[in-house]
Amino acid sequence: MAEYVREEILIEHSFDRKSCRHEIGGLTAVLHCHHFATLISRLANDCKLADAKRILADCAEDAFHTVLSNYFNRHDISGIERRARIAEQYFSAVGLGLMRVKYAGYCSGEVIMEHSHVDEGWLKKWGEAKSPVNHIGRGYVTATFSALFDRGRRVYSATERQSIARGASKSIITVTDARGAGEGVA
Amino acid sequence: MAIDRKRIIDELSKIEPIGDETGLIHAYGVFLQQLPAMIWNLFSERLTTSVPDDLKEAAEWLLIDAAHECGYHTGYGIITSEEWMAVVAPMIENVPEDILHGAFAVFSAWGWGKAIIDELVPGESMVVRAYDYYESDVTEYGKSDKLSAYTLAGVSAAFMDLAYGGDYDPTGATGFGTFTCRQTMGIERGDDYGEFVVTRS
Repeated sequence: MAEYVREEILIEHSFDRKSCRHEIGGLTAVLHCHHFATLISRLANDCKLADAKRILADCAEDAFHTVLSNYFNRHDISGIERRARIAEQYFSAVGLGLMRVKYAGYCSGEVIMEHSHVDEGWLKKWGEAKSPVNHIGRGYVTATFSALFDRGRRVYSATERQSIARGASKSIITVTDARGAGEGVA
Repeated sequence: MAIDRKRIIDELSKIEPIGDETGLIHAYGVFLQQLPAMIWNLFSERLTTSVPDDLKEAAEWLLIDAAHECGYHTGYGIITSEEWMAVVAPMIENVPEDILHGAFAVFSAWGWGKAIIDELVPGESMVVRAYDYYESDVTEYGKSDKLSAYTLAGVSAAFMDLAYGGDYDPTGATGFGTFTCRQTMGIERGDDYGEFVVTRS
């Protein structure tokens, strides 16, 4: 087991030589690169078979809600500000970029991404995008807000107002309470 | 064969999964991330099970094709990277066969699955066996009727493209897609291992 401390967050990483499995915080983790993340994001954008953009964002929300909630419980992290800092640091530690929670309330908030793995990977691979591509990032943001306030999944909705992939210097994601659109998932 | 799989996995699995001051991980000539495998498995399963039966094959093809394209470019990034040159390149005697074996060792070090080449007919076909691959986690109890290792299938085809499909083409216009892969066995379906048969397209 290797432990990496980045500011406050403790990344508990292990690699099992027998199974060749990586684990972070007790969950199987896998290395992928920007080619994979952007190709899956492009698949989501172009898919005519299903609403794959929503599916990808929901999958990210589910996974990261588990990660963050587990972390907060295991390390007894309470308080919105402290939880937000941990969420920002985890985002960077696993290579997703640089995220800052500008403000967070029970019903709304805003997140700034000065760097984004998906957006910068997209730019590197294909140049500027015509529409938002960071569905994984949106899922991370809604997971963060649900974990900050001990709420369930599908409670928040995240919208990219501007994005690095479309040529902006930073991505801005606004968060709203989406309860009107559904009851959420506990 | 001079490829020392164990040593490659030992050396390359030591990469620290930590982003730099920009929150990005620069390695193997690409940006890396190390996310919960759950994300990718949930996406594959929800996409392929959310469509009507007559579109399931099309949805599966989209996932394999994305992995195939990823494997082509990522695979090239890996075999030209500093990490490869330092650890794997000195072991290579037979080109491109040793490169293929080395690439699957890196594949294992990244946590995609313990994948080994079971049969190889140079330039023609390859059979890959995989144990403990993360895509098999879609079944946690019992046996599924569905094979789900889309990434493994796509990447296996891509590695054969790189080995026998001609010079690497960053546009993918040539070289990419010269091979195709079919998963024939899977842990998720109750088999002891996953099996992937790669043949010329």
